[in-house]
Amino acid sequence: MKKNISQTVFEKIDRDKITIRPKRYFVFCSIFWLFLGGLFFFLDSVLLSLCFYFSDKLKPMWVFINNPLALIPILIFFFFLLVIGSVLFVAFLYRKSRICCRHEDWMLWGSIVLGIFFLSFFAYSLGVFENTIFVKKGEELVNVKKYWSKPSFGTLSGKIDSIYFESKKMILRDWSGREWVVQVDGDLLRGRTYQQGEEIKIIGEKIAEETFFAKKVWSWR
Amino acid sequence: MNLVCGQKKECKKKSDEEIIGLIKKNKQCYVCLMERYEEKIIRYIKRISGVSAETAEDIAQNIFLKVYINLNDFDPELKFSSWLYRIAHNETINYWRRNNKKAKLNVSWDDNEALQNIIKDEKNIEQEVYQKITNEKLVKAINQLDEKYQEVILLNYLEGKSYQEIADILKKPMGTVGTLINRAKFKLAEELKDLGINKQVANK
Repeated sequence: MKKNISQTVFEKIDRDKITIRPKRYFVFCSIFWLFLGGLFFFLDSVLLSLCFYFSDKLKPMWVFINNPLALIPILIFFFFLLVIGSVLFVAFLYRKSRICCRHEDWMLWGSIVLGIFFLSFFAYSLGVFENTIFVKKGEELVNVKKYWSKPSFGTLSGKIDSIYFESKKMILRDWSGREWVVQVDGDLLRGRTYQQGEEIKIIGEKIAEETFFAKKVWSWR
Repeated sequence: MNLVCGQKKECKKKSDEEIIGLIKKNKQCYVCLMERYEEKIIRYIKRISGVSAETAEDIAQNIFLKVYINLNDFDPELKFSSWLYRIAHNETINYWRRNNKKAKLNVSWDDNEALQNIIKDEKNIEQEVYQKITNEKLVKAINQLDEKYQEVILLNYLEGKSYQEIADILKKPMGTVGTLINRAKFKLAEELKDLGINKQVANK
């Protein structure tokens, strides 16, 4: 005679000594998932904050450089990181939202995503992550200096070595130590004061070997 | 060995939640719970996946084992049956994913009464005409619906689940379930019309 399922399952439970998982197992699991959720929340906020930070650093390039499409790789890098972080966070919410609420609650999810956005924006505005390992590591990864040191691409950055107001020129030492003669538009010189040793970033045009014409100049920081 | 759960009559008197309390003291009580749901679960698996009876039984065994192991994870705020159906739903989908197949709803042909519940009309005069609708056409119409609509139609009409239970099984808010069911009814009515059956899908 064919056994019914309940008999078969019970025999398996009995034979293999299968036991009910203790309640504390599920409590620990919930704590673990909530911790992981909190961690993703924090990391996503940091990541978005860094996106704001680095986007701001590179913002002048979008407008002024000859070929904005060349920035796509760096933008893709930002978005890639953010998408990865967000996907992980949403996956966590999808799998474990039951811990926080009974159903997949889009309102809760939306609130959390908005929370990440606002938290990261405030963190960026207040400069919470500046001078932290996140920014330092981010700068290493993104290599902002590299993007601001492409003369043929229209960018140059470094430290001012000397300024010659009469001839509207300055000598700039880039991050690799190479010297550049930078011809500065007269209006730019009148608009603000430059100091020897100041770190700057320039948008302009390479007009000759180690000679650069500046159209816009900003302080590096 | 078992004074409480040994008799089937004893089982029938107890609610699911009471039996769960007893299982923790005496695992044999789990048989009572399984016997109560095994047919329903096998039928549900077959309906949502169209697998053979043997495969459905294998999946059901895994489901009951999983339920037993995770019994302490059961949230008493839910109905046990909703939790069980939720696990069954996930296990069946996982089975199909493992086998690289797409789950296909399979409304079985022994559901005459349930199927007829889907279509009815407020006017008695037309009732006789409506009863002539064959299950074949109705099943065809259901199978033409999107999977998300098939699921709620199946749970609501064939499994007789309330909106709250469907919400618990599919982990969707109750409002979403209500909307899905209404849309499903509307689309079903359209499908039936296309099949030459000018019917009104009843509000249950």
